[in-house]
This record gives sequence, structure tokens and C-alpha cells, in this order.
Amino acid sequence: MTPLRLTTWFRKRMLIVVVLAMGTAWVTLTAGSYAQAHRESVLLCRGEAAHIGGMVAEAIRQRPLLWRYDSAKLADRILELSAAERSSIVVRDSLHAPVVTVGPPLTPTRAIWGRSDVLVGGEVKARVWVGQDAAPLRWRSLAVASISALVAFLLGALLFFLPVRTIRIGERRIASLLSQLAVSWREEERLRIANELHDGAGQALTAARLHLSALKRHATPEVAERLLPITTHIDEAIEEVRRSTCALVPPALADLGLRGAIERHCEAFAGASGLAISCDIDPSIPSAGSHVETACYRIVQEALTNVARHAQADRVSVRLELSEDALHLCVEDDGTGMATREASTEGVGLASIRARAESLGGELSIHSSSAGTRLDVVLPLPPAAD
Amino acid sequence: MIASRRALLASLLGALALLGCDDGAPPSSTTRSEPWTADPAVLRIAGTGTGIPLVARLADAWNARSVGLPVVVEPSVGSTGGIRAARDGAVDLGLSARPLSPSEQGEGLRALPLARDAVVVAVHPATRVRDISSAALVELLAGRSSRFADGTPATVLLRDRDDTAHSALERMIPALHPAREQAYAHKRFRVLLHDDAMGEAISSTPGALGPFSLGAIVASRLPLEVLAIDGVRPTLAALEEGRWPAARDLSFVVRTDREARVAPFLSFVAGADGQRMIREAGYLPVPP
Repeated sequence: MTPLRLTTWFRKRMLIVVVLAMGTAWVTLTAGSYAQAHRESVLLCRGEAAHIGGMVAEAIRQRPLLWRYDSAKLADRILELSAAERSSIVVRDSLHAPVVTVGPPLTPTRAIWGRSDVLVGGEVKARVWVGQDAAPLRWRSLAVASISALVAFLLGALLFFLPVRTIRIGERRIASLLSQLAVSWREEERLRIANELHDGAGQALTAARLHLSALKRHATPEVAERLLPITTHIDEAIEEVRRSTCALVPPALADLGLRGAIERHCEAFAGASGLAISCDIDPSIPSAGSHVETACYRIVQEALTNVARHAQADRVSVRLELSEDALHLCVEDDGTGMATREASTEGVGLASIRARAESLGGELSIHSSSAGTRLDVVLPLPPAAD
Repeated sequence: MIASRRALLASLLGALALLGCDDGAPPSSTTRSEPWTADPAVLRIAGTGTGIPLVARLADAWNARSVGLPVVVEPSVGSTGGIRAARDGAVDLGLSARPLSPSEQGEGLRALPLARDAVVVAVHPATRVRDISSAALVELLAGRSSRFADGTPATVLLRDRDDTAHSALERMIPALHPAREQAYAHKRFRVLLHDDAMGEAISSTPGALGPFSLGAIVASRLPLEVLAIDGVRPTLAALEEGRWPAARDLSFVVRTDREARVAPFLSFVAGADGQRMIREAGYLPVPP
């Protein structure tokens, strides 16, 4: 069956989406944080400038003509009442002549500035600038960018791996369901063919055989002798049809159910092979669906054949139990174990058992030693119809 | 589709830029604020607050005579402010409590001696103490003591670091200087930036003491008391006899091209009436 490859398909597309989302989240967080911090600094500088502007306005009101000549005292007052050790403060008169310049010198382009106009009598008499070094803000933004990158990466990883994991699980379930459907369809088809053979060719051959028998009773000895090979051919054809029908659908399953069919097979196999076979089947096992029951029956057949052919065993135990949602089949012998045979490769029989189990979403595990071999097969039961 | 994405990106960047933009650095400055021209109607004087009460008295007497341009005395802008205002022509006469620096002398300014002012330690009028030792003064300034000799609390007030009152007192008591520097560094005491602010602070704060101008107390009739230091009481006589060395010289500063305008007023100051008024105001006249 061609694999679905849903996970691969989704992973490729999801990777693009996640990278885009991560990039967007990172850029938004970093740029937003920087813009916000920058804005706060500007507002802080403006507030400081307005505060100093109040002092300047008071100085202008006290000395309207000569206020700018009192700059030394004004600078002292600004230093006393402002955070000038951290900020650069510039006071200019209305014609941009410097009046006060205090604080650390700042490169204009590497600083954040806030301005306040000093209004006295409705006229701009002076302007105050307060500047802060932008370097701490940049370092802070760098730290935020680093943390944002980490957060974006973690979120991206979560955004990527969670859906991919869900898709992978879903894909497995879909593959399992498709496989079960395929098995179901195959078994139904085998049943239909078996019915066709039995009801069509089988009935026709049986009728022909009855007519020949009737004809033979009224025929001369010479004719009867010539009818003999025809009868033999028809008998062979009837036997061939019966074998084919049995091969397609075990008739015992239909007649006796899973438990009865396995018990009968074990009994017959024991008689034919000389093995001591114990058969322990949970009586509470319900009807598990034709394909599961067929697979289970076939696996028992194959396992016993394997034991008879390769294991040199005396005893075999067959156990079938029911768990919540699966059948557990265990076939254990006291033979020489697989170590004495070709341990590295599975034979056709084991491969067939594994394929049957996996086609139903089940599994096979093999435990082998010199004391014998145990096959554990799990066959999931189909979900109950609502 | 692509166009709309570009528009969205541009809008986003624009919004971020708007959100983050500041008010811009100060533009390059001009060297002078505005051209000053002499006021044809008045003579303006501005400068140190130490000399303002004296000059205001002299100006009142001059204006009462109505013989020349009336004199207007501006509020205190400090010695440096007065010198700069005179240099720029914003005033006709600057008033300084310090000598001109060589660079100021090179800017066409001339200093004309006016008077000598005694720098004293003024106290709140309710203070009972009238005498203090220089050692006790240093202890107070250094923060090792906060009480006067009689046990009453003392509150030290300082002038700004460059004020001439401190340097004058420290010529008398050199140990005051390191104590004062320490006080500034630790922001131990309140700092007043102008004489009038200091006068008001001392007179309104019980137990307050700080450096002040004897002339300003006398001329403005301020309700302050002065302390004798080590038994020497600050008087004009003590100043004249050299027993009180804490003093500073006040001088007018004039730009040479304004000398003719101010000459009549300066003649009045240098005259007998002017010199008498200086002494009456609590300053020691200095012969021109």
C-alpha cells in the first residue's frame, strides 16, 4: 500500500508557517519593546524639560531683562533640583543663544531628547532640552531581543511539534484503519468466491456425479467401464473445489466459531503430527469479526505447522485470551528454539504470521531459547459500531 | 496583493517610527542672544546681590537729585552675571564682588572700586548666642556638631560653591574650606543661591546661621544678628583696622565705550555725599 505521507506533507508546509510566525513574533516583540521604551524615555525627558522650564520661567519673571545673565545660579538650581547627573540639560533663549548647559555631553544622534518651550506672557522666551544617552536603552532592547528570540523559538517549536505529532498519530490510525478495511474487503471477497465455487461449480459437479452414478447403474458393463474415468475426473474436480473453498474460507469457522474451530484444528493436528497440544481458549471471546477471526485461525494453523516442521517439540500449548480491545494469542512449544535454526531471518511461516497481524494493526513478538519458542500475537478488535 | 503588503509594512514602520521619535537635539547655537543698545532714558546697573542694597541707596539719592540719567538697579544676577551683562551692553554698569579675570579684562572692561564689605556669620535674631569660636564654626560646618555653645540647635545654611562670601570667611578661618567641600559633597546643608534668599532663610529659620554681608544687613535693615568670631566683633572699625579680615571688595565694571554715559553717576558716588552714604550703609568706602 502506498504510504499516506501526511506528516511529511504537513511538516514541510508547517515549517514555513512556523518560521514566518516566529519571525513576526520576534520582530513585533523587539520593535514594540524598543518603541515603548523609547517613548517612555522621550516622555521622561519632556517631563524633566517641563519641570526645568518652570524654573526658567520663574527666573524670567524675576529678572525679565537679565535672566540669562543669572545662568550660573540657574544652572546650580537645575543641578540641585533635577537628575542632571544622568541627563544633559540645555537651556537656550528665544534666539537659540546658550544660557545653561549642564550634565554629561551627549552625541545628538545617540541620545533621546525631550523639549519644552518656556512661555512667559504668551511668548516663547526660552527652550529647554533634556537628553538621555540612548545606549542603555539599546542594551535593554538587545536583551529584550534575545529573550524574544528565545520565546519565539520555544513557541515556534511548540507550534511545530504539537500539530506534527498529532498528525503523525492520526496518520498511523488512518493507515491502520485502511489496512483493516483492506483485510476486511479481502476476506469478504474470499468468502464470496468460496460461496460461488461451492454453490456454482461444486453443485454442478455434484449433480453431474449423481447423474453419472444413475447412468452407470443402467449402463452395460462396457459403457460402465468407460464411464469410470469420467466419474474419477468429476470426483477429483469436486475435491479440488472443496480444497479451494476451504483455502479461501475455513469452513470450521462458519460452523463452529473461532473457539470451536481452533479446538478442532488442534485436536486434528495433534492426531496427525503426534504433538501433545493443549488448547486453552477464553470462553468469553465474542465474535471478533470475520477478518480478525480468520486471521487468528490462520495464525494458529501456521504456528502449529511451524512447530511440527522445525521445532522438534513434544508439547505445544495454544492460549487465546481477550483483553479490553484485543485478542492475545500465545503459541508456546518445548522445542529446540529458533537459535538452532536460522535465527537471523524469519521463515516464510513467521513472516506470514507477522504480515497477518500487522495488516490488522496488531503485532507479533517472538521469544525463543533452547527451551522452546513462544509467539505472542496481539490482534486489535475492530471498534464496536455505535 | 504585493502592493497591499508593502503598504501594510510601510504603515507598520511608520507607526513604529512615530511612536519612537523624540523631540530632536538642540540646534546649533548662536553666539549672542540679541544686540544690546544703551537705553537712552536710563542707566542700568546689575550684578552681585551683596552690593545691591548699597547701590540701590546711592541710586535713590542720585535719582532724587534729577541731574542726569536716572539709575535703575536690576535684581541680583551675581558678579559673573553683572560682568557679562556689562560686557554685552545689557547694562551700563556691572557690580562685582570679585576682581576681573584676565580674559574679562581683555574684553574691554574696566573695574572701578566702590566699597569693601565685611563678610559675617549671620544668625536668626532669636538666637541668644552672640559669639562663636572658629573651631566651633568648623565643627558645625563639618557636621560634627549641630548645636551652639548654649545647647540650642543650630541649622547651617550655605551659599553656592563659587560665592565670594565663603572664600572671604575662609581667608579668616582656613579650616572652613575642607569642611565646606565635605558639606557640599554630602549635601549636608541647604544651599541658597542669592543674598536675598539667604537673608530670608536665616531670618525665617530659628537657629539658622550662614555667611552674609554686613553691609546688606545694615543697608537693608534686615532682622539678623551677627556673630563675633574668636572674640572679634565684625564692625566697620574692625574692618578698617584689619582686625576682621573676612572682606570682599565691591567694584563697578564698565565697558570703555559706556564710560562717558556713567561718568556723572560715578562722580557722585566718588564725591563726599556718596562716600558718606557708603559708610552709613555699612560698607567701607574704597577710594577710587
